[in-house]
This record gives sequence, structure tokens and C-alpha cells, in this order.
Amino acid sequence: MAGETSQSETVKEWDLKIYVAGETPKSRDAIANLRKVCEEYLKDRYSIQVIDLLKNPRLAAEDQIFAVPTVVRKLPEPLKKLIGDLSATEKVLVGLDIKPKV
Amino acid sequence: MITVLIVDNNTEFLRATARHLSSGKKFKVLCARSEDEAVKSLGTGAIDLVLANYDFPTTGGIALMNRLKADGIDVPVVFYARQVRKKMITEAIKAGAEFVLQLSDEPGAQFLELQTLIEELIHRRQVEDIQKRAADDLRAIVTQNADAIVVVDNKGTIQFVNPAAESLFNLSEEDMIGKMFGFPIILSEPVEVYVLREFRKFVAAEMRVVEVQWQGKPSFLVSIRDITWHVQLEEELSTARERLEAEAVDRSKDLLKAYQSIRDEVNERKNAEHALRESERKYRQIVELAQEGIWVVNKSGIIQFVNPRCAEMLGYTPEEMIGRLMYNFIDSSFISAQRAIMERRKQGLKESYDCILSKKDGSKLLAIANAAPILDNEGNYIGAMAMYTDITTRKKYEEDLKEAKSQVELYLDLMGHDIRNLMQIGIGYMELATDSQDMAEMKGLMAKSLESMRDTSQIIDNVRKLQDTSKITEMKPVNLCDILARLQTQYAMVGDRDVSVNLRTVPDCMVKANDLVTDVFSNLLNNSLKHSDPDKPLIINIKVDRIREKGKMYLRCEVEDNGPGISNWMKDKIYMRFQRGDTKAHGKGLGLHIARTLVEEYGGKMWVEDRIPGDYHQGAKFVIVLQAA
Repeated sequence: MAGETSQSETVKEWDLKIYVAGETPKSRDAIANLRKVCEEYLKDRYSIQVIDLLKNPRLAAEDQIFAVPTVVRKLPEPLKKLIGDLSATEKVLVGLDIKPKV
Repeated sequence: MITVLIVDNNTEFLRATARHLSSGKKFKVLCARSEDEAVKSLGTGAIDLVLANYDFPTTGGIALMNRLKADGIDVPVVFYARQVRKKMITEAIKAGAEFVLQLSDEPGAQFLELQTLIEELIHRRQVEDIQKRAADDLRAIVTQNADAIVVVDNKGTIQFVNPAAESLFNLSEEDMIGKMFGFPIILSEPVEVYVLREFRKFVAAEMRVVEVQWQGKPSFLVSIRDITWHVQLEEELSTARERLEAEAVDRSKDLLKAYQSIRDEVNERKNAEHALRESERKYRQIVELAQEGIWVVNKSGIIQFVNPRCAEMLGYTPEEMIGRLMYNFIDSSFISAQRAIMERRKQGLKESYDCILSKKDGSKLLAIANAAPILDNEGNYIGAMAMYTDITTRKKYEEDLKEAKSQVELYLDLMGHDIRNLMQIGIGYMELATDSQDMAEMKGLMAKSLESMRDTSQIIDNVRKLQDTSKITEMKPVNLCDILARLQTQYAMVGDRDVSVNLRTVPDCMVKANDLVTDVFSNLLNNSLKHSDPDKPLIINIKVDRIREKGKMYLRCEVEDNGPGISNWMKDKIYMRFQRGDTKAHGKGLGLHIARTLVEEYGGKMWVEDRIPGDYHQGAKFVIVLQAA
């Protein structure tokens, strides 16, 4: 799970990281929810890196993580962070500033 | 009412100012002429405002401010002076004064302005106090709250954290303020997140977000509650539940096993009970259908069980016997023996014995008893069981057999003795007659031989009668007087003897007897004739009377003669078989035995007395008592 990246290794328009703590049902739900939103609204334009802070605790300082699950939008800039329940699609779109398809 | 303290050493000014301020009843005015006096008054806490002369002679206004600050007295101070300079105002305000008033030459307007100023200042101070208190209260809520509170702006940057947040995140306020926390997703329900507290250490928390205005900007107030204990509790509960469920499953399996085991045991027991019932039924059938009577008594001798055969044997129903003492059914003649027998039961002994039971109709039942004690598990005597076989009939058969044997013996005796003797006598006489040449002698010898044969015939006849007496099953009413009358006639004409038979009877002579009763009296008359002196007249008196004995009617018949009588020692022996009397008369030996046997069979009695009491030589008197019919 840690360091896992979906889609191809090419730089995508949307570069997202999701920080979780271990392989728990909640972690899996959070990752699945993010993928679902990205698939629906950023198809072929995103990459998601999953970072398990239990396996890679030092990576928490890189993005100043206070709590998980936290989604960090590296690209496009500016940096955005989203924290909380990712099942609320509308909130996720607002938080990551993803514009819904017209 | 606003309390104002005026600090000035100008008495006149003090009075005037006090008078003007207190005229409107809004103000209460106190005066202090020195700094110490002012501080003392302020120490009461009742002063709302200080009005002080900036140019106080001793220390000046600023010194007063400093003194108040040093003493922690926070009361609005308004200075006044004749000459107000800009520097003075600056210093005064800097020192904490609220205002510096320049005194004018128009006291009226001045005091009005002063009143307004004081009111305004007081009001403002009150509002400030309220605001300060509110702010303090809010600050207390936020700082004392156990939940972590983080305020972030609309970019997610931390603007404020409370002490609980510092503790939760294990970071100081300085480390957190200005950092990007993240844009919190706002939902109506709390969201579960994991707070990174330390390296690899996460704390489960519940996050709630509300939109607020912070420092005039739209912000988010994030409230985070440590629910580690809750999560742990849930996990423990979950674990406990799983354990309980597992235990419940195990327990259910155990219970199922136990249930099956119990069911198997119950089935086994049922089968055993069924087998026992079946066995009991068989044994009960055996007991119920047994031809022997069976009863069971407890240790007190009370009948607990009786089979139908036992009840039938005794003429009762089982219900009539159960619960009663066993001795009620034992013949009185056997009770003592039965008590001894029961003592042996109590010793644990079993035995067989003959016993006599008592039937309901009062008759006896002869039985062989097979009895055994009943013991409990500890070997204590708790009762007894007896099985009775009715041998009444067998006993009767045995008695009959004995009687028959006795008769056979009699017949043998007779055959071997009396008849043989008489036959030999007859044969002897015939042989003599055969050898005799004399007709008269021959006739005489033949007559004697004939007599001997007649005697033989008589013996046989008597034996037959004897046999008949033992077969008496029915009696009938017989007219005794008619029989006696016939005998009287018969014996009154015997050969050439002088015989007188006198008869005295009663009108009702019916007795319970049969045809053989004639032989009884015939035998008596014959004996009288036989044993009397042939050369003397024979007088026989027969007397019949009706008597009552124990409520029953009898006929008493006396037959007396004037013969030789019967000695006392012979009186009982004359009834024995083959016993002859004292005389040398030729008798057949069965007569009186047969006579008495017959009388007793009729339910009567027979005995002999002296005709003249005490002198048997005067003749005998036979007494026969028969039941009246």
C-alpha cells in the first residue's frame, strides 16, 4: 500500500497523496472513496500515492500531517490539504477544488 | 448611584465640587485630602471613579496613578488642572488616566460637563468590564475544555489552538499556529480520524467542524475529542462480544451435549422403567394369578398387599384385608404360635410351617405357609411376606385316608380275628356234626354252627353299618317314638325269656337322624338281653323327654335295665372296639362303638350311668340325647 501509485508513472495534471494509518477498513474506505471521485471527475488525469504512516512514519513531516486520513493535492498548485471523511463527494470536490464535469 | 472620590487638598474646591456633583442625586461624593487617604478610601472597593487634582501638591497625579497601579486598584481616574498641557495629557493617558479636564471659570457648565463625562466613563468602564468578563469566560471555556479546539482559516491554516489541542497533538501553540492543518470536511455528524501524536503513534479521535468568524474572517472551528478509550472500549467490547459469542457457542455445544446426554439418560431411564414396569407387570401377573394366597405385612403386622387368591381363600375382598392387622385372619388357636413365628421373621429367618387361618364365615382354613422377611438396603426388618397353600381339603383327605386305613385295619382285625374265630367255631361244630351219628346231637351241633355263622354275618353286618356311619352326609327327621315302639314289641317276645319293655314317650318325637338310629336302640336292648341273667325277669324301661340345652331342643332318651350293670371302670371302655362287658355274654364287640359313633354323627351324645346311682349292680342306664327335628 505505501508508496503505491495508481495510473501510469507519467506526471499527471492532478498529483494526489493520501495519508493513512495502517491497512484498516477505514483506510481502505478512504482510499476507495478518493479513487472513486478521481475516476469520476479526473479520469486519466490523476495519480494517487498512498502513504501508510505506520510503515513510513517519516513521510508525515514532509507534508506536515496532523491527522489521517489526509489528502494532499500537490498538483495543481497551490498545495491543498483535505482532512476528514472522504465519502462526502461534494465536500471532497470543494476541498480539492475539483470542478464537476459540465 | 455613582460614587466619586475627589482627591485634592483644596478644601473649598472639594466642598464646591462635592456640592455640585451630589446635587443631582446621581452621585455620591467622597473626599480625600491626601494620597494615603485616597488609597484608604479606594481600598473599600466602593469607589467608581477618582477625580484628582493633577497638580496635587505632594506627589502629583502620575504618582497617584502609579500608587493605584501598585496597589492593584483599577478605578477610572480623571485628572483636572488649571492649566492642561499636551504633555500632561499624554503622560496622564499613558499612566492610565481616562481624561484630563481643564478647569474653567464657568463652574456650572464645567460641572455639567464633568457629570456627563463621569457618567460616560462609568458606562464605558462597565461595558468594558462586561466584555472583559465575557472574554474571560469564553477564554476559560476554550482553555479549560478537554476537547482539542483548533481554529483554521478558509485555507486550512491554524489560527488558534487551545491547551487540549497542544496536548492532543503533542505540539506547542507556537509549533501549530500558522501551519496548514488541512481543509476540514464538514459533516453534520462527527468523523473518526486518527491524530498523529508521536512517531508511529496515532490516537483515535472524533472531529467536529463548524463555521465561525475568527478575527473578522470566515474560519472553521475544529473540535477534536480523544476517543481512544472509546475505540479501545469498542474493541474490547467487540473482543468480549466475540469471546462471549464463542463461549455461547461452546456453551451451547456443551449444553447441547449435556441435553443429549440427559436425553439419552432419560431415554435409558425410560427404557429401564419400561423394563421394570414390564417386569413388575409380569411378577404382578404371577402374584395376581397365583393359586397360592400371598400377603405382605409391614413390621407392625399390618397387611400392605394381598393377592386375589388370598382374599378369595379367606372369603374377603382385598380391600377388606389391606390395612388390617394380620392376626385378624389367624385362627385363635394359632395366634400364639403365629406370634412366635413373626419373631423369627424379625430375626431374618424364613421358614415353612402349617398354620390355621380364620375365614370370614368363621370357619378354619388349614394352610402351609412359606414365609420370608423383607429387609431394607441396610438389612433392617421392614416387613414380611407369606405364601399360603390351602391344605384343608388335603387334610380332610388325609383324615379320610387315615380313617379309611383305620377301617381297613378294622376289617383286617375282624377278618383276622373275630370272623376267623367264629368261622373256626362253626367249622368245628360242623366237623363234629359230620362225625356224629346221633341225629339230635347232629342237629344241636349244626344249630351251634349255624349260630356261629349268624354271628359272623352279624359282624359283617356291623362292619357294614360301621362303614355306613362314616358315610353319613345327610340326616332326616325320624320319629324316634315309632322306632322305640317297634323295638318294644320285638323285644317283648324274645324266646322263653320274661322280658318287660316299658315305654314312655312324648307327643313330638321327631329327631335328626337316619334309619340306622334303630340299630342304636336295638343294640342297647340286645345288650340288656344278652348280659342279663336268663333265669330272672328282665325289665327294660325306655323314657323319652324333650329338653332344652343352650337354646336348642333335644330329645333325651333313657334305656335302663335291671341287669348286672356296668362297673365304673368299664363305663368308658365299653365303647371301644372289641371291648366286651363284665359278663361272659357272647358279644360281637362293635355294637356300642357303632351306637355311639352313630349318635355322635347325629350331633348327639351317649353315655351310661347306674340305674341306681352309686350301685351299678342294680342295672345300667344308657342315656342318648338326639337333636330334635
